[in-house]
This record gives sequence, structure tokens and C-alpha cells, in this order.
Amino acid sequence: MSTYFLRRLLISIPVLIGITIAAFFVLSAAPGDPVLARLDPEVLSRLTPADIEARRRELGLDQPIPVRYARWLGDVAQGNLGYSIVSGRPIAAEVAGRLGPSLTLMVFATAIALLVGLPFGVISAVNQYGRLDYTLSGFTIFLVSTPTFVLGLVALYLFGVTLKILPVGELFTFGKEHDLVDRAAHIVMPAMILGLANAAQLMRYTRASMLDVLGSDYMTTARAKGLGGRVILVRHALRNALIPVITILAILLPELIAGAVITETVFNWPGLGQLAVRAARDRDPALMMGVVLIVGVFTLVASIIADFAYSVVDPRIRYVRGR
Amino acid sequence: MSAVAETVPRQVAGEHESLARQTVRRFLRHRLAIVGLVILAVVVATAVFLPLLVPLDPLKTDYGAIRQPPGEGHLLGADLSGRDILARVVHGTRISLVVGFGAVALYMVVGTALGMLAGFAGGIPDQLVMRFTDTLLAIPLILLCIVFISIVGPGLVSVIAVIGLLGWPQTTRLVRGQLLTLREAEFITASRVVGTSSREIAWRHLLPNILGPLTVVATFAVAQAILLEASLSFLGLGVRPPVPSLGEMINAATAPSTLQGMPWVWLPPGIVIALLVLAVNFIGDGVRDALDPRSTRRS
Repeated sequence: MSTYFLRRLLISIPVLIGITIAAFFVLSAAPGDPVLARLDPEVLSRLTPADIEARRRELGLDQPIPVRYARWLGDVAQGNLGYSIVSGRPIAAEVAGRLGPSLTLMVFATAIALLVGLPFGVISAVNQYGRLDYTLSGFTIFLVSTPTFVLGLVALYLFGVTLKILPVGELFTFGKEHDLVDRAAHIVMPAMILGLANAAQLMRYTRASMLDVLGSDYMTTARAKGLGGRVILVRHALRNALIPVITILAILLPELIAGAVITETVFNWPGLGQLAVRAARDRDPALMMGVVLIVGVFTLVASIIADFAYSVVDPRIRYVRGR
Repeated sequence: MSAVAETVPRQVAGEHESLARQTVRRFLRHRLAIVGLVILAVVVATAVFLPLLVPLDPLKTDYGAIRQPPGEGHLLGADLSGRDILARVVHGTRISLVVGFGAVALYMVVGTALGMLAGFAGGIPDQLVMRFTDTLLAIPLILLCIVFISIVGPGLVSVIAVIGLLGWPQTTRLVRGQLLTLREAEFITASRVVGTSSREIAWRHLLPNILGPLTVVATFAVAQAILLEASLSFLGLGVRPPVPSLGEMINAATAPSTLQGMPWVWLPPGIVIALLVLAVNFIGDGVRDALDPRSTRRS
């Protein structure tokens, strides 16, 4: 078991390095001179070409890309992600400040996705082709098709500005930093929107998976033994139906990150997604590298967690792969 | 819908009916798919023909109509600079369709080519392609697009290129997976025995056999690409402002005054995107069910 996870972890590291190498090369190809880009045009007009060359050397930009990458990797190992071209602040600090809000949003959104998606998926499957099934399926199709930002804006319009029962954005009301109720009120809408958008997918898969299991022979056997409805539903059907659902959860986690990019922008939530959008708008490759690194770590950790959950639900996997 | 089904003579399953006709018949019996097809047809027809019939200039600013609610002169109202919402929605839909179909056409070609290479050649090319695919799949597509947009800059062409050149990994996986099973099929062994060249096997026997699953993937991909373009434009990283885009129109609602006071600016483009994606998803469901013989009991 532990060797299996150690191996899994070790496999992830080359993937992560691969991601950063690819991103680094691509971002190095950005047009425009990073030295010129970070200088005030007024200052620039007073500099001689020799001054600019000196700056370039100072920043290590005269080196070939592989050398620069090696240097970047060395810096990262020491916790230094470089400096943002636009704000001039250390990127490590920028990213670290956004980890908390991003993780909080993700955790709540995942919880909502699970709390809505799993039970509704099961209900939908048990009432296959019934009125409840059609209602719920219709609801999921609506959620899958409507862009997250439209859902978010409609929610903002209804609950934020019209009914005024929920705050319209940001982490907390200015001056109420330590007010837990205020913070909770601020996370309700972003987490609901992000969670519901992903609950739809989860519900579809849970429904399909439950239907598969419900039609299997061992379910007939269980029913023939005279077991009651709820017992077989939970102990026999759901437990087996969960196995494919967990894989889907692992696939959904990147989706959740993607959705977070949008949700954070709509609700002005100071997370990593918003930082990525800012890096793109500002054309800040160094900042973008930092975001790519952290999101890469996020997704890989998520897939390892999913594998772990997988082996807990289905011991056969542990046995076969863990040898 | 049912009228269509009845005009097609019912036949005993599997008797003298080509697979294509069977598929079409099953598709036409899929109620939601027909609904989707109708919605898509209406949206496409409006986007293509309406500007030809009535003058709809998405850029013309009518200073007398700034912030005008829906009504006379401007059927759906006008935005902060007095531009007609209807004209912008119609032209924005054109952009959405161009991006949706253009990007997907591009990445189906890339994805299929790489998938065939991996599945057919095996060995080192397979390893290389698949590792590359895994790496791309490890990062959410929208983030990849954002990274690339930050380099090439936003714009219509960049959006199509970025989605088209980054969206292929799933197609590649599908094609490779299909080929791996097909490669062992008896009819492939048979064609090898009679001396058919590898290239011919790939074109004549393998490709036609994976067209079904590819169509399904392509249909859903169009919906995904339309959503992606809208999201990127909403973030200010998609189609550039003078060109009307549905996502960019909705971006106006990030200003609280527009969100609250002028819902006619952002609600129509939101509804159109949702309808478009919904329609394409319905069609995708229909195609998938029609191509999957196991789903015949469902109609």
C-alpha cells in the first residue's frame, strides 16, 4: 500500500517537471522584451543600449533558455519564484496569499458538489424515467449548458443586488476581517455556483453508474434473499456505484480549478484563478509560471488523493496494483 | 417528430438496413436531439440570415439611445455606448459559431492524426505522444488557453488557434484506444494477410471504423469550445472588444450598475450561449445513443 503511493508520488514528479519545462519554454517565447516591458517608457528613453544590456545580464536573460530554466528550478527549490514584472512583488508571496482563499473555495465547492450530486444521482437512478428523474435530469442539463459566469451573475443579480441578502463579492466586508458570520456569508454564493456547476456532472455519472449496478445479477440475488430496499441500495448498490464515480471526481477536480478561474473573477474572490487571469492580462510570464507550478501541484495531488479514495472503496485495486 | 419515424418503414432489426440508415432513424426518434436540432437551426439561421435582411450594425453608436431599455428603435435595448443589443447578440453568435466549429475542426484533425500515429505505430512514437497528452490533460484546458493567450495576445484568430491546438488530447486518447482494440480485429489481420499496406489499412479500414465515436466527441467538443470562447471573452482574454462576442457582452455586467440597472445588456447573450450549448449537447446525446446499438431500448 505505502509502496504503491510512494511510486505514484514519484511518477508525479516527472509529470510536474514536464509541465513546468513546457510552460517555461512557451512563456519564454512571448514576444516583446521582458527587460523593456518592465521599464517605465520615460526611464527607458534616458537609458543607453549598454544600460539595457547590463539590466539584461543582471536578470540572467542573456543566458539560453535551458540555463534559465535550470536557474528557475534551483530558485523554486529554495522557495523563490521570482518577481512579478508588473507589481514588482515577490511571486511566492503573491501566490501564497491566494492559496488560502482558493483552497477554501475548492473545499466548500467540492462538498456542495458531492452533497448535491451523489444523492440526486441516486434518486434519479432509482426513479429511472419517472417524473423525478426527468426533473432532475432537466436541471442537470440546464446547469451543464449555462456558463458558470452567467449562473454567477444571475445569482449576484438575484441575491446580491435585488434581494440584498448576500454580499456581492470579495472575502469579507472591509473592517470585519475576523467576523466568521460575515466570512461565511461571503463564501455562500461562490461556493454554491462552483459546486452546482460540478454537481451536474457528478449527478449524471452517479445516475449512470447506479443504473449499471442496479441491473446487475448480484442485486437480483440480494433482492431474492429478501433484503430491504434501503439496505441493498446503500450497502450493495451505492458502494459499487461509487467506484467509477470517484474516477470522475478526479477528472472533475481540474474542472473545478477551471471553474474557479471564472467564479473567482465573477465574485472578485482573491484566489489563484484570478491571479492567472491577471498574469495573462498583464502579460507577466514570471507570474504565470508561478501559477502554472501551483496549479500543476494541485491537480497532481488531487489525482493521488482520488487514487487513494479509489483503493479504499475497492480493495481489489490495492491488492492488484500494490504488489 | 413521430411523423418522421412513421414514414420510415419499420424493419426487423438488422435485416437489410445499412448501419447509416439505422443510425439516422434512431437519431430521428431521439426527441431531445430533435429539439436540439431545431434550436440550433433557429439560432444558426438567425445569426446567418438576419443581418442580411435588416441592417444590424453591432458597432454603430446611437447617442440618443444610450442605456435605452428594450423597446422601439432597439428591440432589445442599447448598451452604455448606445450600441444595439440585438445587433451585437446576432453578430456575437456568429463569432461563437465560427469559433466553435473552427476550433473543433482544427483539433479533430490534430487529435485524430496523433491518435492514429500513437495507436498504429506503437513503440516510441506512442510513448511520446501519450506522455505529451498526459501532460496537457494534467492542466485544465482553460488555464492552458490563458497561458497561451498571455503570449499571443487576445483576438479572434488566437482564440480559434489556441482552442484548436490545445483541445486535442481527449480525441487522441479516444482514437488511440479505439485503434488498439481494432488492431487486433480479425478483418485487420485478414487485410494484412492479403498484403494491404499499412497506410491503406489506416485510411480504408481503421478510420471509417472510428468515425462514429469521433462524431460524438466532435459534437460535444463544439459545445465545449463555444463555452470556452465565451469564458475567455468574459475574462477579457478572448475576442477583442470591437468584435462583438457574447462573452464580452456579459463582461459588462461585472460593473455593478450594469448588473443591477441594465439586465437587458447581459441577459440576452447569456441566454443565447446557454441555448446554443444546450442544443449542441442534446444533439450529441442523440448521436451517441443513435450510434450505440445497446441503447435501442431507449427511444
